[in-house]
Amino acid sequence: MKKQNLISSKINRLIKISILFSVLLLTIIMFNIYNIEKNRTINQLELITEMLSNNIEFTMLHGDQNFANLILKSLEKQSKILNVYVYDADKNVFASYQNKHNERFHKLNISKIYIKKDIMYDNNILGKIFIEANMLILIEDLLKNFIIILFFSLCFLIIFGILSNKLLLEIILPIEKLIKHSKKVSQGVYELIELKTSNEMDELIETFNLMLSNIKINLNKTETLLHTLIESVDTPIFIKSSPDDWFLVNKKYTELTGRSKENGFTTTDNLSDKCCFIEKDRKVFETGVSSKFKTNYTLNGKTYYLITKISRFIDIEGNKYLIGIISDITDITIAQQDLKNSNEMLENILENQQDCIIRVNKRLEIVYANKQHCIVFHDGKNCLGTNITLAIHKEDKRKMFEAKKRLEKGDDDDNEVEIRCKTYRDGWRWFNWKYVRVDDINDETLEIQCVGRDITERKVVEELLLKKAELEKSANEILTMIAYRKDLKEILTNICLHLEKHDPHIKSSILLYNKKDGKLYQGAAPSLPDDYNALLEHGLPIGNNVGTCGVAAYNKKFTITSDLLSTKNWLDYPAFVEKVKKYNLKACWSHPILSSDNELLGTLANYSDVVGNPTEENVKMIEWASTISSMCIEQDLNAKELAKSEEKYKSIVDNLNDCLYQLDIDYNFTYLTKQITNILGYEPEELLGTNFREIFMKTTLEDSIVEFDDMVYDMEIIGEHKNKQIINLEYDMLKLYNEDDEIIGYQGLIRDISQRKKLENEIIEKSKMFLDVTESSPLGIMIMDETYNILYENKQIKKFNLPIKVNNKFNTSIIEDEKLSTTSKDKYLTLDAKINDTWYEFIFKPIIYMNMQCELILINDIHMKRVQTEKLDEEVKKRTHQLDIINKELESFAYVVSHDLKSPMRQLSMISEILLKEYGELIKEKELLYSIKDTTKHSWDLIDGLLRLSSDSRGNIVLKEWLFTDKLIQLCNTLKPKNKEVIIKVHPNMILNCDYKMLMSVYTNLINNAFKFSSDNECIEIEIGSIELEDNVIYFVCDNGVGFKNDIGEKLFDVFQTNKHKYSGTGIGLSTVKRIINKHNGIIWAESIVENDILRGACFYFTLN
Amino acid sequence: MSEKVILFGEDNHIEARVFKSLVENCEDIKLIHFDNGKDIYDYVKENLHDLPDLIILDINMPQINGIDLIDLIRSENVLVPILIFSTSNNMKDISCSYVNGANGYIVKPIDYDEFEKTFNIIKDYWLKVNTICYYNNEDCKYAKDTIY
Repeated sequence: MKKQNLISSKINRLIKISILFSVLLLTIIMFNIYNIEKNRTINQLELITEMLSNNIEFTMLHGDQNFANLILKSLEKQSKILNVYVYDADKNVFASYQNKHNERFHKLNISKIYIKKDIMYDNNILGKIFIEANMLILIEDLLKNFIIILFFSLCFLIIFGILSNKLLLEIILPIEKLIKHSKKVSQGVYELIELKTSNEMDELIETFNLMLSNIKINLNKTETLLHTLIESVDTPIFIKSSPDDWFLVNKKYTELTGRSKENGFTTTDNLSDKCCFIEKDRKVFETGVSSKFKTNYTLNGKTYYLITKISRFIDIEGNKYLIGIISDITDITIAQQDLKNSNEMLENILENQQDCIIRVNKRLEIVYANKQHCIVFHDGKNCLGTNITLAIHKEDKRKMFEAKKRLEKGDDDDNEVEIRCKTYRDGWRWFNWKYVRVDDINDETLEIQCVGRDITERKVVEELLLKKAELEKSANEILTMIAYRKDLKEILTNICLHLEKHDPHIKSSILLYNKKDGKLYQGAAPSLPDDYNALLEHGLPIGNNVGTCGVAAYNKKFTITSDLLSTKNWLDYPAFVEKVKKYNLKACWSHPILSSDNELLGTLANYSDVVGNPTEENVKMIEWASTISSMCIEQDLNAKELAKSEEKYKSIVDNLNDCLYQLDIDYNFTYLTKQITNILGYEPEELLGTNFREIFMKTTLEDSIVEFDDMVYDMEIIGEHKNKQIINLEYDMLKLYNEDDEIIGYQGLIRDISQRKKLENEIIEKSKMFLDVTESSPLGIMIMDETYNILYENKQIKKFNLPIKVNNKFNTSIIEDEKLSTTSKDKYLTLDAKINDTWYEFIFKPIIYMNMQCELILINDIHMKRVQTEKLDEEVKKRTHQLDIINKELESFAYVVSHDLKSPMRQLSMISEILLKEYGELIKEKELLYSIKDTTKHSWDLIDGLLRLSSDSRGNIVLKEWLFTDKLIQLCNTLKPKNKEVIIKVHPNMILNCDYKMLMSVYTNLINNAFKFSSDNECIEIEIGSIELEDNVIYFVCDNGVGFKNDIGEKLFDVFQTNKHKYSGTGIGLSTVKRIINKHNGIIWAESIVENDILRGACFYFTLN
Repeated sequence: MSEKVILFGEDNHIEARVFKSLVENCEDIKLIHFDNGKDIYDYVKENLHDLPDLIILDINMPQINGIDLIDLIRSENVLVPILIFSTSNNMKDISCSYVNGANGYIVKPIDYDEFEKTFNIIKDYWLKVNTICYYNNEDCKYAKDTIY
């Protein structure tokens, strides 16, 4: 029992150890093999998929149905493959092929490996192939061996387990579970081996021990192998199960990070509790780690950069392990940093360059500009996107575009331009631009990099040199011209141009001095505007206060006016100042041109468009120019003077109207020009030797001739013409001296001034007359200029005693200003004004007086007239009112009269009618009744006519054009007597501008009359028409009736005027007609037609308007 | 054909006499004559249910003149045709008559023959051609409203 206990405890321990070992061993081996197997499987699978995909390429395309068989056949050989899925992208078909050989695994929930492969054809993806493989099959193989081992150990356990129930309970149960699990996994059935004897038991134990040691050895071997394997890998590898549970790291890793599995890893080291793994895109990330991808470690003073390059999860029995391979990216990082540094350095160099560096795109917009460029062109502001052409001088833009064209063509030979650019602070400056084409490979757009350098100073020097050469050339030209005695003006012009060439700010001109009037005249001014030169047309006087040239000429010194507009000498000449402002001339430097005798010849004026003094260079040039000018002016003057003086004397003598005379010392004529004939009628010869006094001094001025110093002018004398006519003369006389200052005679001019005298007298007479007229006029007469200054007023004005004069100006306040200003040039403007309770009439008329636009004012006292007019107006109003009342009364009177008179008439007529009708047979003298009837009828007509006379001719006329022709014909037809032959002639186009109703009344009356007075004729002829005269139309109505005696013509139209005749009439009709025609501003008259002293008819004429 | 009644207002006996003699020639016309406006107005008021077929009035009548009389008659809602028969051809008289509601205005002719002719025309038109409305017993307000 003791032995047994001993054994049991031994076994117990052994079992414990064996179990521990076996588990450990199992894990390691499994892991090892698993991995190797897995990789192998994966490789195999990849091969298969590749093979398959190659076949499938065609089969899928051609829809081969035998493909399934082909695949299955090849699959059967591959025991690990479970399923193959094929996806046809073209047809969008998904096919799956199952490996029947491995059918038993399909239902198991085991770990699987998938391999995916694209099916490619001509670089197009036709479809995808997926292969599903089983991982458990590996383990099954492993377990087959492992379970046997376990089995044996179980046997022991069972044997001893009988001895100890406790043990049995503690150990066997879990093992049973394991077996159960194994069974579930393997599905294979393994029978228990029967128990053997105790010897055999010992043997078994020995074998078990041996086996155990074998296992131990194998286990160690495998572990070593695993370690060696990991260690032998050149890259750092780590395996960990959770963020802080490091399972395995290799030497390289330790080397790299300085941390081994034993030390260096704590939970706080870069990791936190919250860390977890995340799988994404087949990469594994650790969350909560401060640096997820890149970390750096400093080891031995050297910084390493590390990156986890590959990391993958592995599932081992439910535990997840992260396997990572660390890459050392130190070198790359350093290289990158170096690159960055060098970039920065490059940028620094660019930014700190003294040259401007820019990069522009195809449209010449700036895409990069260094600091210098920004400072120079944009005041340090950002200028990206600005078009560089904006800053380029317009004359140089062409150069720019040409350069750009060359670049675009790819011509890189001449890659420099010199152009003017506008800088922010210094304005236009010369820049040299070196440009290089920068082609971006990715982007096809062209970019140009330009380096600009300020070369203004160099350019200035260059230009100076050029100018100097040019100046020398022009100076030579001038000298040549002088030598060849060219025209003075031409030479002076060239001198001016020469000066202007020297300094473009200057406009030069040369003024020539005229000795006679002491004024300066324009000599040459090629660049000054014409209207400026025009100011000098009348010469510029010399003086100490006349502009600049006047002063220079006066002082004979170089005079400088640095600012024209602030110098008094100039401001006194507003005409010059205006032009100077207009043409932007700011300064004037004038140098006198002096002859060799230091006599003034002219001035050389230089106008500058800049305020300031001349530079030393300028002074030099001006002095040189003035010397040259003086040379040529002098030369020219000399030549001219000679020629002039020759002609001068002759022309004076010949062209004078005056007569030139010479007297000897006793005033006897020694010389007379022929003009004397025109003046006095004598031939010169006739008068020679005659005494001056004899001819001219007979009447007056006896002594005045003696008393004069050297000369007398304009002496008036009276002379006698040869024909005894007295004429007014004027003479000048000067004394002639010999070399010893003794008087040797006299010389002078005589002219006829009688014409002038006559005119003078006339003017005096006229003005006298004017004064007589104006002063005696009852009208107030006044003349004022445009600013109301009174130039003249007559006495009458003073008599009016009106407040019309304030400070010798017309007091406009007495009449409204507006009316005064409306005065037109041709017409009189008449105004009435009431001043001091008296009415005055003001008549304004613009006149020209003393060469001025003036206003003539006539003032008339119209008070009396005005008062009378007002009175009259009032009277008229009163009368009109009275008339209106009377008119109205008349109207109502006429109405009452007509109505009340008419009724009894009617009744009388009716009564006689009734008597005739009803009692006619009883009445003996019926004629009496008839006469009652006729009389009442006549009275009725009379009343009717009277009424019409008052009503028709009253009321307002409404004028309108009416065509009367048709209406007249109609009217005649209604009025004509029934049993007579009637000829009616009505002119066509009878158009009358009249009041229709009234004119109809006129025609009715006239036609009625015509019929009435023609009723005796067998054939009545009536003519109605019109006669057109120059400016009026006469309308007429003629008949062939009895007519009338012409001596009663006018009386026809009087009221109640009737022909005491058998023809009945009221005598009102024609009166009405006359009133209507008069109302139309027309006249009416009547004429008889007389043939052979027999009345043949009557004609009524009338006009309208 | 029933007998037509003309109400005639005329203060002048001669005028009335002439008119009467003309009416007497016609068998089917009865003439009721008054020589002043007041009597005519009274007659119309008393005989509102037996109105004449035509009223002919002179303007110048004692007590109430013709033009005022029209207004009075019309104010009694009487629509019998009323003619003015006057010597006046004054425009004021004519327009006033129409304004007050006259249906016609006739200027008395001077000639007897003319007079007869005129009478015949009046008789033919107003008593034969024309359809008479005696009294405004219809509510014509509706029509008035729609028009204005």
